[in-house]
Amino acid sequence: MKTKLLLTVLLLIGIAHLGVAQSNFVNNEKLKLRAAQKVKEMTDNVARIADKNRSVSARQYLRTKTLVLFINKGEAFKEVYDGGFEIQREGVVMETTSLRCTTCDPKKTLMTKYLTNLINLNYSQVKIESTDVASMEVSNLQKINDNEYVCVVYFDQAFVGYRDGRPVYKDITRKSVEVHIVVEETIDGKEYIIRLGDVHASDTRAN
Amino acid sequence: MKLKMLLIAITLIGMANYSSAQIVYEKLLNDKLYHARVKLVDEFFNRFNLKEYHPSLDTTLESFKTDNIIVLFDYESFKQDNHLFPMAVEFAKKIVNSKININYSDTSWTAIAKCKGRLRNTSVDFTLFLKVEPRGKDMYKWIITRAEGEIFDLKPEFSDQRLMILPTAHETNFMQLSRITQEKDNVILNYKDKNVNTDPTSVFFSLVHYGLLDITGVIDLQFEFRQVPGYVFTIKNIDREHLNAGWLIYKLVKK
Repeated sequence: MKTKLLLTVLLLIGIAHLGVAQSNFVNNEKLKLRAAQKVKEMTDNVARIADKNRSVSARQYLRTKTLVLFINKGEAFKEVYDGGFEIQREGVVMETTSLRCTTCDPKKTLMTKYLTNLINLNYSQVKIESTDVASMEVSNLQKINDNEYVCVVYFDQAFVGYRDGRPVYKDITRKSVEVHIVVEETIDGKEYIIRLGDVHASDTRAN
Repeated sequence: MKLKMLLIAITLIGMANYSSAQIVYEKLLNDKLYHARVKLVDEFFNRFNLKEYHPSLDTTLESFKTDNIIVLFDYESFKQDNHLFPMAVEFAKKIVNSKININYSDTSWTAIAKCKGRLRNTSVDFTLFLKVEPRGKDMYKWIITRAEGEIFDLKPEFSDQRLMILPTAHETNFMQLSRITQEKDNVILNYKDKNVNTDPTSVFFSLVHYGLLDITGVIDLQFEFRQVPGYVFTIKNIDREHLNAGWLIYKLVKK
């Protein structure tokens, strides 16, 4: 009888631990998916901002909406540390590369400027295509503080610039984005605040 | 009749113009190549540890686990007719048979970052070595363990026996020390104890600390792994339109 009771208790404890372990696992995969979805939102907006079929005012509105996805809306900010020390952080950076100079290092442009440049590209039409969200490669989540995580999302981005209906420039760039996730406990449960950081361009080749 | 012919002609021309005005957007990205590529270092870890597989492999084959490791090698450096290929196969078999894993938290892998920077107004190159360090429960960070580069190997512009702190300097409150640091900086090493060596890593940190050196970018990144007993292997990102691309083993050394 005692043995049976002991076995039952052990079984219940085991099930309880399995439940906890499983919920942690589900949360990680859920967060990774949310990170990829946020990046997809960015890449979709980038394509729309570059689309000359849309009005300039619509694309400027999209630019503002896209900046909200980034840390401090892409703007520079002061980071304050214990003891009142401060570091001035520059705004989020987008790296770009070009087939026009394959030996050049990737160019770093502030995201705020990059999105404006997208509106003003000197082509009659632009097509940007990025990896779909299900195929985006997401790194493991790395914990950086209590309730704060960081990961990287990788995708390909194809760019075609047209003049008078003919493609005059085509490339494919490999990109990876830093994604910061803060988990907050609210009355309704966990809330995930996801913000995008710098975008690295690793390589560009002809399409 | 003429009017009818004219209308037909105008319609046909209009249709032709409409077709050419429509830009036909074909799919630009190649999914097959994308999924085959080892896109992140994390993905390299997962494939090495047999948690993920190259999409072109037949997983029903007995050899697929070994094949999964072999396709992590850069085929250009480890071609089948190359003398390095048997070593790659032996290495892959060892990984599978001994169930060897590599982990992010290991201290035996090193990042080797070749950097471009600016030292005052001059463009410079140098290399930083970094390792992962734990910083609490399940938290890590990268730390700089070493710097290498010509700019950190301090050498005096010239040496001369007459370059010395005079034997009587102690009687003038060592006022000569002001001269040797203000009149010509880059012969300062003439005044050091010959048994004292400058450390390139400390030189790097000092230059950055005093705002003299900035890193403008990383121009080449590799990772060296020492977790597999008897071997050291190095990976780098090899970009090409091929099923063998991304973070691949390009160097393997048997110790």
